[in-house]
Amino acid sequence: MMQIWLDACKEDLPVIQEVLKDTAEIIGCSYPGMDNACDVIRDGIAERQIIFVSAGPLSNAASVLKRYPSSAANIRKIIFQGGCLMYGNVHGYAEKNLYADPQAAEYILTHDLPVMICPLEVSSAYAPFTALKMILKGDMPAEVKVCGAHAEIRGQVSMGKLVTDLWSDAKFPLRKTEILVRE
Amino acid sequence: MYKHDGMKLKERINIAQVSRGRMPLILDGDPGHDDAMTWMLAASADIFDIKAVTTVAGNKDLENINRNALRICTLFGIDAPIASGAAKPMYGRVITGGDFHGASGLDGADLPEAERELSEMPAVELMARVLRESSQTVTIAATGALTNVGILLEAYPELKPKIRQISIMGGGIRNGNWTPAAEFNILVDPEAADIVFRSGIPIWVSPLDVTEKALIYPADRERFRSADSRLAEIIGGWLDFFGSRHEGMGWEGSPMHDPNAVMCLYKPEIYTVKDVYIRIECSGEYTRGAMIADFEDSAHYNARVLMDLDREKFVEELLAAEERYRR
Repeated sequence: MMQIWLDACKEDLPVIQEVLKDTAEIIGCSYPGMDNACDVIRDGIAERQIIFVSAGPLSNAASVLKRYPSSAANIRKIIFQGGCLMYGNVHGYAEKNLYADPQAAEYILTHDLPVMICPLEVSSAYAPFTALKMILKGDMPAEVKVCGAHAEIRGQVSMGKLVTDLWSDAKFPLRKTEILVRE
Repeated sequence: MYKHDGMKLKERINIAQVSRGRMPLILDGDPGHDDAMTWMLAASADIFDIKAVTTVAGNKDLENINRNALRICTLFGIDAPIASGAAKPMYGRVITGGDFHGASGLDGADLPEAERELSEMPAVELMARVLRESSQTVTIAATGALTNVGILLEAYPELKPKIRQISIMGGGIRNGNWTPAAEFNILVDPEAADIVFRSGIPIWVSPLDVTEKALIYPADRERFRSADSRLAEIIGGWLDFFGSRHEGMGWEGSPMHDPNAVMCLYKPEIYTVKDVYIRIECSGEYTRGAMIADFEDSAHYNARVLMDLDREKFVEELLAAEERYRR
């Protein structure tokens, strides 16, 4: 069974465990602001191959990769809920998780590890972990597209905006991020 | 924080729409195939009183743009003064469209020689004179980079009350085109665009969100080429060139961007519109030139954005404009 590390899902843990019960094994969880998050995560995923799933800001994910780069070898993929494709819930253009730590998001998006984004449009349409369960079962609730994706960290009025090249003529040189797009 | 005189955007736009005879209009652009189609629309619709035509560098360098503008005005019988405008953006970081519209910036057809000359006045001075001398407020339709308009607003702030509305083709909310987040016109001069959106003047926006739906398909091109019009061969040639450019990039038709900026002024009923608070990003690493939109912040609405259109009616009106130029 697939092994999952959950980050930023503290309140929903019982619900998630129920939803994922036959699909994946949750081997541990962390949350933003946790003491020694990096050590907890490193130790928790050591000698395993896990999928790192985040339903909040990517602060812990970025921190552990910066502090313990070798932990990347234990992570098969990072799936996170964050960003929006068009209509956001922060200042109309941004999404709460990405906006809370845009630098962490950009670090993760430009890291070598495979990343999948579940943007606001998809995660609000489907209960968040039902979507995740379908992903893990290989039964996608929405279309998966590969694109170039970045988080803006220098904008004055666009801080935390998720920028993708899904629909623009111009594309980013590096296109390796998976993203869920509603049909 | 954007300046606000307290009047809501809806009220200002509604006041702007009260018509008193023909609408005084300034056309500002960087022709360009779709700028040319826009000027044809404005010249042929018996709704506008074109007071001035001004050029801005963008699509191509100013020399080519000016030559195209003079020939287009000759072709469509636009006899307003034509003035050369900004050769580079307000803060000097030059981007051009390369050969997207061809080596001349308007490839595809042989145009008759220009029978017009550029005005002695530079563009911004001409625009100021039109505003000062007009007994009514004046509409500006800007289909290129907003450099001239930005300079006008900074240099002649006392004339702002004489501007009824500014209708622009530019920006994209869902996506950009020249970069993933930014559309070409705004990218060429984001600081000028920022000035426009902060000005408090009612703004109509035709972003990529609507213009990428204003598609001309090969079947439509045939109708333009075989229309009962002395322009049929020229328009056909332009549309074929423009079409081949886009089909080469994988599009099924060509997006006719600029004409929306003029069509929405007299045929708003074919569009789906939304009121929006728009800010222009000038500093982002990935978002320089991007149009950042907040649809919920009604206290700060500063623009009316076209989001969708009736494509068939759009094409019909363009054809009708072409056919007004009978032999």
